[in-house]
Amino acid sequence: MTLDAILFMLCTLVGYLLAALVLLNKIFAAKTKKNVS
Amino acid sequence: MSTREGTKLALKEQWGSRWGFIAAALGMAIGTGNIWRFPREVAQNGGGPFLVAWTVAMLIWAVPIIAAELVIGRKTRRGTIGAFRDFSGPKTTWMGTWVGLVSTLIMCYYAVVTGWCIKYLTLAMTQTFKAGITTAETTQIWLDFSSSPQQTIFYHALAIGIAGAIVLMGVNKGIEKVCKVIIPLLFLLLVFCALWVSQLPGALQGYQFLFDPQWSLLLNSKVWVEAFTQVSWSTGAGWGLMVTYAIYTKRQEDVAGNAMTIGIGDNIGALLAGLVVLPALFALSASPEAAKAIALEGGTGLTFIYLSQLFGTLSGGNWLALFFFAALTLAALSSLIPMLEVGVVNLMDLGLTRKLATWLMITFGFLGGLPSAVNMTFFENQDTVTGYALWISGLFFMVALLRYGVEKARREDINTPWTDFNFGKWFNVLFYAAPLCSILLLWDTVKSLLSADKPWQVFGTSWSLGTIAFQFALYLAIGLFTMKFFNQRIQPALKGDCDYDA
Repeated sequence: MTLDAILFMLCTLVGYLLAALVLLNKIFAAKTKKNVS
Repeated sequence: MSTREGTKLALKEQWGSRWGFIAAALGMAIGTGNIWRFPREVAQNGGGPFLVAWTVAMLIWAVPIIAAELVIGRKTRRGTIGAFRDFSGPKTTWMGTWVGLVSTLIMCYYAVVTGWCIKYLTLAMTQTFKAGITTAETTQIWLDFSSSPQQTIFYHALAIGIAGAIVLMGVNKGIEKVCKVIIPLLFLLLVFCALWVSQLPGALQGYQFLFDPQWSLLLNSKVWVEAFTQVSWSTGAGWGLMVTYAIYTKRQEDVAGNAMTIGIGDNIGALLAGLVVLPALFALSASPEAAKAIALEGGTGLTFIYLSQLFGTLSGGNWLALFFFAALTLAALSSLIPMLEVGVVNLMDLGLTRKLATWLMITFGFLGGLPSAVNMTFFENQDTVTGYALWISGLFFMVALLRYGVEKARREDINTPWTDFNFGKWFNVLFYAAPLCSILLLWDTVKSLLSADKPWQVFGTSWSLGTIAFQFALYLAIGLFTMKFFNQRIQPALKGDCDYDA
């Protein structure tokens, strides 16, 4: 496997992983406020 | 809310939690397209550049359409037909009928596909993919199964029956509960398979193929067209499924955050499937050339013939086959459920109970799927025609949003005070760009269809401009002829419907 392919693979996987962690954190943090009129 | 209507509406079904809704929406998005279509597309379009174009397409095309669907469903609390009527005016009801009809027709043949997955799961469970099994044997297994109407119809009925039973239980006790189990399990199975495959000698060649950085291909328009096509087939944007699921969301639900979660979650599912399929192909095939040839073929051949055989070459490979086909079945089933729900909700809007509406849709899905279960040309025809119809469905959602007002939707329906994520004013550009992308994709398709053999053949073909134009005209005619009926018969949302959870 070439070095640039390894770098691109790491960037892609880390990028998607970080995005997933940020979004999952928001979902489970339950910031959504209740009883908003 | 103290009004009588409010009390009645408080009894309506809704998602028990945000995670419940996200799980159901991810289940909708992640389907067989992620597992057997994505690896083929990556293989055909140069690896790395395709991944870049595919990520861009998800962000600039799928996320705005999903956001539009979430807004429309939450605002109107109606199925696709009533949603278009109430959101963008009674003259656009036919667009909602088009969207609902296309998703329901997809449901008919998708139940057949889900049946195939269930069949292969049972084969893996009975240790069919044993050590030393040859491609000739796995080809024969596939041919024996696909050419036996009794078997394909039985598994089609089983698939639609399982999905129907879940829909029959309702949103909270059925769909949400099941998806909260299916989705984490699906991701776990894919991660487990990816880790297993990564240990195989030769897997690195698969990673090189998947992440090959041939950046010059980014200037190739075909790579971009295929990336947008993959996103439209895979995320479920424009299918009307999100409108249907959004009906049950709370008023405080975060549209921007949910749209991004669904888009990114779907891409992660596809990426994980790519990390299983391509390294497995390269590690287990006789040569890298053979692996490339199989990857380029993709689809049912890749999944049911080659992977089944390759799993057999591995020590403990039947277990890997079992986990892989379990993931495939769960992905297919969790996508079939919302397709059924689209029709059920449209019927419920006409005053039918969930029970009666579901039984009618199960019957329609079973009967409508029979031709696809027994005839592969008919199956491919439906797969192609409804696939292209989805681009028009996506276009309709953006037309509805433009009629409603893009800035109004962004300020009043997306950037609400209780959301975690907000769309900036720049995002409006994407709401205008998304329909443009749909038109460009359609134009590119028409060009390639015109240059194909016998472009105007209508019947007995799986891929021609004639069959597509004929069926599109039929959908349009059904939408226009039933418009007055639906406008009169669908109950409008009660005042304050959006606040029923407040």
